[in-house]
Amino acid sequence: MQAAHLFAVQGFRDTVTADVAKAAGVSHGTVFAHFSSREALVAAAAHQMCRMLTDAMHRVVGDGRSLAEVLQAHLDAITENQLMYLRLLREHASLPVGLRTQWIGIQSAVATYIIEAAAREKQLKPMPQHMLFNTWIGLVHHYLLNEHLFAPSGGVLACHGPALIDFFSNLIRRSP
Amino acid sequence: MTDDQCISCGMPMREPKDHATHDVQKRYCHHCARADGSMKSYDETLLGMTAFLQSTQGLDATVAGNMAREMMRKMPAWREQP
Repeated sequence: MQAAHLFAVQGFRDTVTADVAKAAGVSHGTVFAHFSSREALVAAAAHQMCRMLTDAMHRVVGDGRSLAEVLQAHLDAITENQLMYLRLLREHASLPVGLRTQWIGIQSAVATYIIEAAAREKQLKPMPQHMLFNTWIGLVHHYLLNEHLFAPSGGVLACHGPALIDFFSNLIRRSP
Repeated sequence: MTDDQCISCGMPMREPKDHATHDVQKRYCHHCARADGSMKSYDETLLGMTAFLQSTQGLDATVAGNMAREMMRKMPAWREQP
């Protein structure tokens, strides 16, 4: 979706519908034939990414995979949509309430998959579910937001993902 | 996999087991169903969604409640709700 790419690259605030129309090779009016407002267009672009993220995790969790595999699926899904994901991560607090809510909702959906996979693991330290998720997402977001420090050539999650998964898995396990 | 979404909470319903009572004719998910299979009320769903946001991310209770209310505002089941 050209609109999603533009929003991801230029930012939500700085992308106007004329830009979207030009990128899609359609008239300005055609954009509004499909989307009632610019906000609706932004929401659709964000929704598309969010749906791809949860679909990817649903497939892996549904197969009864290990926590490490679910976490890897999470990282892979983010990487596949990294531009848009990062844009939402950076800007969600300043976006309209509908988009802020969508962002928070998707994080809870992802949390559910990770928590479900973790519950199948043995010998985990007892901890509130939200702390388990917030610890993982805190790590992931720190590396994403600081890609220039951890992987200046790009691909920060591909580069550091295995180490993050390994560290987190050990962190939440009881000592033998 | 289907592309249905729960009309109450928006959860994707990809398989029959995601639907209330595993009935794909029901347009709401198993989280939004009561034990007898009927759909939960607005207040029941709001409580459940608020608790969901708190348990998964540890959000402040008021923030979680406001987010849940905003999420539900767009749901087909609750668009007419004042």
